[in-house]
Amino acid sequence: MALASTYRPSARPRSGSRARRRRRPHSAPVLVLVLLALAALCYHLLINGYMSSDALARYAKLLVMRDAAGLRLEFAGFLSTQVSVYLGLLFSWVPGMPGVLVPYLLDIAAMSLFASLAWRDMTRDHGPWWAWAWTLLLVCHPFTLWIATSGHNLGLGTLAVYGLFRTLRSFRGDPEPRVYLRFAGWLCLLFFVDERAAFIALAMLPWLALVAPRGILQRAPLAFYLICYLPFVFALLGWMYMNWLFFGDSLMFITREDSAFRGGYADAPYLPWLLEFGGQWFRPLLWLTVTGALSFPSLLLAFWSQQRGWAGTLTVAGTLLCAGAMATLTWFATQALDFLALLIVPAALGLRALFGWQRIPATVLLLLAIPLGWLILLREPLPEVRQWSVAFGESVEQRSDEDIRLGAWLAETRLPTLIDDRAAYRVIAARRDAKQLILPFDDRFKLALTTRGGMPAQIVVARPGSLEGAQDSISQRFPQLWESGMPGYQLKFEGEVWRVWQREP
Amino acid sequence: MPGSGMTGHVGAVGRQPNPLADRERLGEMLVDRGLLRPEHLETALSLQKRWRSRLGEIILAHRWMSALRLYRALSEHFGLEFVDLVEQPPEVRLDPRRFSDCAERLIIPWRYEGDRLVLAVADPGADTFSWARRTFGADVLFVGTSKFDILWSLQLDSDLRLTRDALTLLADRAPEHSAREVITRPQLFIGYALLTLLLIALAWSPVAALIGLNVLITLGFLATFALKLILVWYGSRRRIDIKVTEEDVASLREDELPVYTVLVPMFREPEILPVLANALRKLDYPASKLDIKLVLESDDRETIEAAKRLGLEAIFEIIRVPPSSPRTKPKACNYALRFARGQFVTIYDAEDKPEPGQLKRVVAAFAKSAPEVVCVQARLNYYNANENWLTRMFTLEYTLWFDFYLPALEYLRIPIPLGGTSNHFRIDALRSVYAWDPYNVTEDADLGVRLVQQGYRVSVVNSTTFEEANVSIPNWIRQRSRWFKGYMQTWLVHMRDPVHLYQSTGFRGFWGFQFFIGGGVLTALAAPLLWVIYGLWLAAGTRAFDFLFPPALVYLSLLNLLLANGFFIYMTMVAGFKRNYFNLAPYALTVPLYWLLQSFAAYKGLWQLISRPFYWEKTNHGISKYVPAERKAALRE
Repeated sequence: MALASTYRPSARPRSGSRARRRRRPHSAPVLVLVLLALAALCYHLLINGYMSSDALARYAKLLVMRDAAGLRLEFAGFLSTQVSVYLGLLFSWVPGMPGVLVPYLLDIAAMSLFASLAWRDMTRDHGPWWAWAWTLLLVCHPFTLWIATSGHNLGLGTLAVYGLFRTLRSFRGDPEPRVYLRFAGWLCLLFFVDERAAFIALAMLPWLALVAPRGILQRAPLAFYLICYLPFVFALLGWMYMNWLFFGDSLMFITREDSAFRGGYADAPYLPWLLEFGGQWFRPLLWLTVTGALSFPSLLLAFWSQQRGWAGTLTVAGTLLCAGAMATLTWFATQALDFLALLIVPAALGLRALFGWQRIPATVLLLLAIPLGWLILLREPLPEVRQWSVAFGESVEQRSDEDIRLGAWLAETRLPTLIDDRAAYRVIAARRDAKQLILPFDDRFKLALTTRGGMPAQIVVARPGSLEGAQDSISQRFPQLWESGMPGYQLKFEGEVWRVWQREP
Repeated sequence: MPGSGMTGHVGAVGRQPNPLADRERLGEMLVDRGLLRPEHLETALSLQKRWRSRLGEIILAHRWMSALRLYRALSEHFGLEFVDLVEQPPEVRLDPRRFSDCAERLIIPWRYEGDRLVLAVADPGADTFSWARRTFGADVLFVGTSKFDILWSLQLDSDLRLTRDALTLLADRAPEHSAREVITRPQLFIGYALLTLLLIALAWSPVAALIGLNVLITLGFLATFALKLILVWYGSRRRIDIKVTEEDVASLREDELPVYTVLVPMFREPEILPVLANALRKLDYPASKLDIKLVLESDDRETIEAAKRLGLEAIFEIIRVPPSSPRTKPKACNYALRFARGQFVTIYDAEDKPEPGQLKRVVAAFAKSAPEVVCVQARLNYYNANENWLTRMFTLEYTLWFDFYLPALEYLRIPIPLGGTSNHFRIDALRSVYAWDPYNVTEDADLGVRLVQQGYRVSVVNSTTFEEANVSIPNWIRQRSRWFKGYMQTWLVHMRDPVHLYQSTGFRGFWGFQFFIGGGVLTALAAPLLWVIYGLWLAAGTRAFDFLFPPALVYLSLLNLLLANGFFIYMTMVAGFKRNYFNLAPYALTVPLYWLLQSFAAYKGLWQLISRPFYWEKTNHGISKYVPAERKAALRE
């Protein structure tokens, strides 16, 4: 019963002396320089004919949101994260900004921010010159360039992963509540910007024990994990709720095959990585670990770093490699590169904890990482990766053709048009706006698919059996439409994949 | 009138004091007469050097002599006759203008002997005598008496006036800040006008009107959420948390510490008295500079008797507050404040256990703060957090409130609604704003805002007072409904002149007040309505409410439902981490049930605001399972 009469020192708010705030090094020049350099490189790639299908799809979504959807949350769908869509909308309103560049710009901005943050962090421990050198080498790494200029919406995720893991440093000693807020906030944000978040969050569970504050972990492990993960769990539940609220199926974002939560390349016909390792965990983990170490050999220096710095680096790298292995185990449609590229984060964070004598070896290893990174990147690359790498030196041949032709035709023939944007995003991108398009989220679309009288003046349909046809709900609902049309409609556009039927005057 | 007070008293007892008494050693005299042990004198003398206090005060503070013996010896030392004012009460009325000085100097006009006024003194000394001669005339005579007799006599003399002052000083001198009038005419007019507008709108376009209402509620929720998000973000920093360091406290010189008044209002709480006395004894502050007043209702015989039975040290004084309506804590405090002798004053509840160093920490905080800081709020928390679900939730809530919100409010210069106890004031400033509003049932919250409106500032100090968390839901509802009623009163009072409120508190202060005080009440009242609508929609699948939620409003409501609720649950959890209450973290997941209780209490508070605005819903203390053992331990000590 002494409890009630004892003043519990542990129950006092723990406080140290009022420390003077450290001046933050100015990272704006890094931000601007990296932004300009990456933008110039990206422009060069685009001029050489590189075009990311993912960026096109996002551009089409921007058009749809801007012209047809009226900024309705549910119209952006819940099959992919939405932050990049809304950020894209913001960017697209910048005067003079070509909408098609917006997805690239988002990635470039995110990676520039990443570089400036990394520079600032490294400057604190090693001074500005070493930070400049290392930032330059990290930015020149092919994986960084891929994230920043491929248009695959990897930039925001990488930035969020960096933000998440840099808070681990503050877990040392006796962290204040804001550290948990920051950590949980980044993890929560990651869910809204990157579809790989669930794997990362899950893979991090055991690794966190390495860096968690000892006292809390020993006394109350449940409380520690709750405080770290609760916002993420709430985000997940919230997402499920919205899926249920708007589409009546809380698990739609997982069960639908075309969901980005099942992989960034869900529409790809085959993925060499999955063909080789899909459904397994140990071999992909081994493969990722070895290639990861080759891509970023400076990570190995972390084992001789200051103040248990190895624990932080190991936690971050281990988490990301395990996340990659877990994704492969569950047939998440991806390529190894997209998880390997995230190792840029532990590579940058690990540099902070190096001893003075390790600076030169680290620089050499970072330099070495660039050719090694290219070698790994070009080992059995996906066509798009190959195109991207070729575009550094020469022009690449653009596919399409028919999509652009149809887009241009639709831009001239302005009639209410029934079209499925999931299959025809390239067409919409080529049309450059989405006005008068009747899209799947629209009640008129549902009406047209259920009642004959609800058909609009023009119908765009994909050839059954084609890749587009497999995703086109119009073609699936009316399998004969592509071939035979509809009474009262005449064929106005004919291609190998697309046909347009127009109501007779 | 000289001579008119002369009664049948036989023999003149008033004398001039022995002019050499100050040079003679009181301590040695006490030892010579066997009244004080030599070792006690030695300790007392060394403390006297450290504290620069009167020897008699030190001796009494340590109970090395009985008060009566000391006061008798003191009188004798100064060559004065000792009189018992209970047996021989004063026969001269005290000039009300002299009341405060007399209470502070422990002196009272007793009677006339011939044409000469005789004053009774409990703190004889050159200062006292010369002040008395300057004030009452050069030819005054003196008798000795005890401090308790003086206080008792002062009370008897000024009972009615003090009670009236305690009740009406604020209401008479600054009626715009008094809750005596629950709602003013202009406020009523605006209320009726808004209601009429709403009715017209409902008749003219019911759907649009209901949507408009829904928009207002939703935005209110959102703004409250946004404010609390900001507060938590700032409050979660440790840097914001620090006011006074150990070094600051160590650098204080005890001889320079001021007299500190501690008011402890109690009502029918005899059981907890020993625990309280024990906690106050542990305060690390020169005992001779403590002026502790147990503020008891004069008809609360059981607590008064219990206090007498305890035979407390002389630093404890009992102030008996005459019964009058409304019977509220602020009224009792106002009454007792007239007897305060300290430079600073604080309030503790009966069940409080302040950290021993709190008073010193506050003195240091005042020393470090700008002159306009006139109030320092210590943190409150609970010592029986793990007793049951309610105490756990209450502890998490208090931790969030006092360890996150209040420091952040101070940082952002938003008016701080003071907590019920452990608020420390500069006594002059407190008196200058007419102290507490006896008609406001959260007089502390009101006072915090009023001080800011008067150009003062309120600060927060990193010292904690541990209280007894409510262990029973009915008791909790009583307490919380009073708090909600008080917040409503406070909001109504300070919104009587919103322009002045805005001018005196600024943009942040004004909106912070709206959404911290007003928003708290609004969310507690509106939440059940929204939950009912949501529950009906969920259970019955009805589309009857769809018209109330156009798309933009759906998104805002979703934001409130998912983000805000999730955030508040999470914040409740984070709160525990600031105090290492890790074991409470999982309980934070059940906080929505606690919100339900709050809503119930809010409706009860609203009803009481209409039906019994000044009724003080008493919270029973001492019902924790720890209290009996605590009491036993205190008595043993």
